[in-house]
Amino acid sequence: MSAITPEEMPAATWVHRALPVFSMVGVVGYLVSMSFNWAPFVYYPVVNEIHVSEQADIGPGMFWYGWMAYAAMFAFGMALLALLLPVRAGRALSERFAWCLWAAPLMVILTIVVLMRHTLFS
Amino acid sequence: MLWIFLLLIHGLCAVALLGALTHQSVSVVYRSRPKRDLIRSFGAVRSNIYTNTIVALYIVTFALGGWIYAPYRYMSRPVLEDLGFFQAVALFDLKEHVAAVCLFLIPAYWLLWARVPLSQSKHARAALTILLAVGSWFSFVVGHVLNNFRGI
Repeated sequence: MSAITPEEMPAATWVHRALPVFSMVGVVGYLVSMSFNWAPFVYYPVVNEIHVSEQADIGPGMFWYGWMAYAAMFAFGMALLALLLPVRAGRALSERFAWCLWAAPLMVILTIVVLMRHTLFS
Repeated sequence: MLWIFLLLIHGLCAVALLGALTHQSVSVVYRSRPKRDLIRSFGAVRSNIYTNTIVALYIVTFALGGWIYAPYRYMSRPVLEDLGFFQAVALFDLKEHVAAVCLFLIPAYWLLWARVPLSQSKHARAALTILLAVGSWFSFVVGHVLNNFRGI
């Protein structure tokens, strides 16, 4: 893959607006869905079944897949909304807030560590 | 037997991913330095050529990990909890959170390396690459430590 130059870069294509939004909202959405245990489904690996609510007596339930599904749905929706932004505004936003691409996930991971402090550092 | 095979493939993919990510991370830190010593020679590569490989390897490694996570949940985790290894279990939970967060970063990572000129967004690109590398190394070490507990 060859590097592209500024002259070769297409003027703010849809990926420039949608992908940063998808990443940032996905990361924050994962933290929210995990913190509040919001999941559209629960997977029960012992019986290999998926349920929309918690079930008793069929082994431990796994919410992790559901948390990611909710975060992905939310991120996808917000990325679609970002496509409605004018091209120039979307480009300016993605350039101005490029630092959020690494700061947001760093803060999310630190928040998760704080939320898990009782089990991690007991 | 299937789970052991999948775990092995998961581990091998992780090793390849770590190699590529570490190489790319060192190259963004030591970019355009002369090849005077081992570390600088290690970093003096065209760092963008790793991008698509890293994206593909991350997705494959994550998918395999997500698959073998299910049997871990009902076969290995209860044993670890019965043995009192609660911190190891918590570390594994943290690994899953870190892996999921890094998965959501993959689209932005690909954008910065493949669709934004290398002369722009240098700090964001470098920070995101290093974050992905640190997250992948953390996941690998925690998975390996838990495997040493004979947990999986």
